Amino acid sequence: MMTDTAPAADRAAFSALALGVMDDVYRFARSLTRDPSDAEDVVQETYLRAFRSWHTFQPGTDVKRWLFTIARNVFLRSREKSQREVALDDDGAAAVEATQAQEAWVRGGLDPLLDRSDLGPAIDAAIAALPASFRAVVTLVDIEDQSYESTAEVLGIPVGTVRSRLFRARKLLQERLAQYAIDAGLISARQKASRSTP
Amino acid sequence: MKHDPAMKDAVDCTGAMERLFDLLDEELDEGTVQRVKKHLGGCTHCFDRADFERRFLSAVAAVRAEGPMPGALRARVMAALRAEGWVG
Repeated sequence: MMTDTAPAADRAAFSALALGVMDDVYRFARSLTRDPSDAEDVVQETYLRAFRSWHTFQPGTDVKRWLFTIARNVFLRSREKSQREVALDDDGAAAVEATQAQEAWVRGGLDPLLDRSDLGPAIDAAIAALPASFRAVVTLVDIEDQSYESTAEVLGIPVGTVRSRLFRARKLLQERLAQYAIDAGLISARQKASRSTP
Repeated sequence: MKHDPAMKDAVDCTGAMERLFDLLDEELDEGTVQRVKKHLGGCTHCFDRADFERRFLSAVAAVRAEGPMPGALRARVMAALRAEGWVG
């Protein structure tokens, strides 16, 4: 445990490294909990645990990866949710059996939107609506720029599972964003259909 | 970094598309990267698909810049840490 008697260098390192990535830890906690208030609780508990065990952090390694792992453990322990996560994963898999025709349809709708600078809130909402296990991999790989290996370690799953969840999550996101484009009137269903025609 | 022993020779459309996300996520070894890129350079269909996925991933990554953390949370965490003895 690090207390006020801990070396000043340790305290400074904790402040600079761990506290410097609180936004990232919060974003990951949000992906786990889907609830802002619960995410704040996870972040607070994560930092308390990180502070108490800072002496176990190896300098030169990825502090985000270390904190993400703690955050996931905090979340699982507080919710005892690991069993439910498996069920959510199955739901997600069933939801994304995209055919090639569907994929072309989605690409046709989404393609003209991708360069828009105001797409962020729609993407945020689409990520929030993903099944929990999909949200976690998308957040870690696509937003936090973690490798497949790091993501596998943080989530306690094989690299192959990271890869397959990521693929399904991305296809699901694309499908939802294409639907958002129609709902928001950014592209008509007819335009979408014609764009997807080879 | 995914080493792909089956990728000694040129890849076709199926092989390139199977490895597309690995390529964009920088999870392939250098030799496989070159083979997949070579295919993409000569196949308009796969190139268009790769370009779409690359732009899609860039749009998703841009969400990071929006910084969703509530300002009060940082103060709350600092207060909890101080109660534990943190003096930063």
